[in-house]
Amino acid sequence: MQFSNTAIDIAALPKAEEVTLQPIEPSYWKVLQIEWLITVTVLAVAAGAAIYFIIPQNKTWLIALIAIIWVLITIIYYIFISQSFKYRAYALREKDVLSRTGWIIRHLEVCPFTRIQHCSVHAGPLERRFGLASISLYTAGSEGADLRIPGLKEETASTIREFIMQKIKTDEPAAH
Amino acid sequence: MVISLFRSKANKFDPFEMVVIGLSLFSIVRSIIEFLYFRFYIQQDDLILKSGFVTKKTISLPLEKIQAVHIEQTWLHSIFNAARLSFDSAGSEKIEVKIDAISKAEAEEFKNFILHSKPDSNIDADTGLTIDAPEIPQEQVLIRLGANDLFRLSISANHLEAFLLMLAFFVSALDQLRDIFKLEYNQFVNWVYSQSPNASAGWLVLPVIALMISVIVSTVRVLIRYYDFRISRTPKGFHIHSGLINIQEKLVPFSKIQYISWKANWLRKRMGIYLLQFHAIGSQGMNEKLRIKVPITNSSMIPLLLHQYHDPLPVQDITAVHIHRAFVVRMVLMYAIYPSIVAGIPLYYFFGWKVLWLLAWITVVAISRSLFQRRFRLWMDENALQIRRGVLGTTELVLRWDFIQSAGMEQSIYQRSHDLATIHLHTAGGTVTIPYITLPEAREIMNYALYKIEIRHIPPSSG
Repeated sequence: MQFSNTAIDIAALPKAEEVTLQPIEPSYWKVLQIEWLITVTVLAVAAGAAIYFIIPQNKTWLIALIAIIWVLITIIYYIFISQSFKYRAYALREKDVLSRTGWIIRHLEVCPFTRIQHCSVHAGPLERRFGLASISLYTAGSEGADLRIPGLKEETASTIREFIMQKIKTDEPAAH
Repeated sequence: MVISLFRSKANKFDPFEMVVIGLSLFSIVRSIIEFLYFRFYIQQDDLILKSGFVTKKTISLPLEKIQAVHIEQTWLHSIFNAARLSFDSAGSEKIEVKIDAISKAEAEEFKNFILHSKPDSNIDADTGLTIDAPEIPQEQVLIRLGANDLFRLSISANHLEAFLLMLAFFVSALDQLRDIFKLEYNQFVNWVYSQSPNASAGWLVLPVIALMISVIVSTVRVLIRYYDFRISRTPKGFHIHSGLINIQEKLVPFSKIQYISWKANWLRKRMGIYLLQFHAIGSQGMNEKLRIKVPITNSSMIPLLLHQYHDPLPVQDITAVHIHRAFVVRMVLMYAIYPSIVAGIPLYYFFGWKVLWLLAWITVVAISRSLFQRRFRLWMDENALQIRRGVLGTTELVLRWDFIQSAGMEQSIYQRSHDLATIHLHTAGGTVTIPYITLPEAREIMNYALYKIEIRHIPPSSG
């Protein structure tokens, strides 16, 4: 191998922000909605039980407060899942994986294949019902460095896993 | 016979005492069994630890993957001429790998293995060329702290922290004393006042006493921790030795250092005293005792410790990246003005116009954030980046691009409207954050970091 140390044109580097990202499966929206429904129902039952058993009937203002809080949680949670679902996307490049998430605060995480320690595919009961799965990529980085992409078709998830495992094998001739 | 002895006495014990005795007996038996079933040995290139009587557990640790090694000798260990050996684990789950008592000779042998065995390869990762390693002395002492250094360290220590520590100890001790002597706080306080001629003098004397006690506490802490401190360089890594009662030794292979930071409080910055930290894998979220820190009493020592990782950048020749002014506005809104409005309305009911004291809080936040914004510097060259930040004190760090594990960019609504972004560079030793830089700069940094990681095929760290 020849030693070379030529200057690098920063402007010519591949740009992560110009990659066209792939949105996640539309059917994942149904999973999120069902999860939302279950959570708010459980909350409603818990609040109802609290009102019925603990709070005296004459304290109307307290009952109203609990009801208002429940309504607020329900609405904000719904906005959160719908907005973050719309923004969620991913992309595979030749040498790394990109994942875009968030609602109020938006993130773009990039994880190079050479740094992936292992990856796993996970499918919960709801996801399985819709033929979906999520993939998690683990690096040696500290917490927050791992990457998870939910709402992929089961086949897509396992294809991506195969692809990454192949990349890890070929790109890592020797580890320290 | 033992049983009969116990039986004859058993009647006199109440159930609570029985439980206590039972538990302590159980724990003694347990530790004996644990001791008898604990084995460790080196097999080919793996360190194997076997333990457990009921649940058997085997840990095998490839020697090449060993990160930093900690050798600790408490006074109890020194009686039996033994030491405790523990390793930083690189796994995402924090499995603690340690040998509680190993004979000193074995620990010594282990140390030699980690620090002195021939570096495994001299092949340069970039070029594949073999480099003739220059003759390096077996062990070269870089820094040794003398009495003078220890004195300067104690004087400049964080006295507020020491005082609070002592206060907490004092209050809890007083609590116990009160139970014994039926002494009341009020009586004690009255006694203190009765000793001074008048009350105002008492208020003058108390801070002086507090400062004196804090200095003494700091001195004792510094002595216990840094007595006989020395750091030396071997062909493969650093060897740190320190401690008065509990002797600590740390072995840090060069190749396992993820990034290096050094910091100083306001006073230490002026005295040229820094605390340098080697961030190894998993050092974030690790307990304070296992962190690898080196006190530096002369700032010219810093390049010496950085050399193996990456020399400090020539910062005067590089244009620095700054944080955008909008950072201050945003922080003051988020952490001072909004909370003050939310808290101020109910507080007004109780305290009336005293609520205006919240303005003091807003001022403090504004000043500190604006100092932070003005003092923040980021320098970059083709191999590494260097950050300087701080409000009154200062923290600097050097991170090589190729030690980054993954990168992320973050934008809040406010940042989006101002074309700003925050960058997170995740390493195996912790995350380095660059807040509120312009979007083009953020994109450039991120793309460059990815380019530097991906162009190399051999991951330098991979735990």
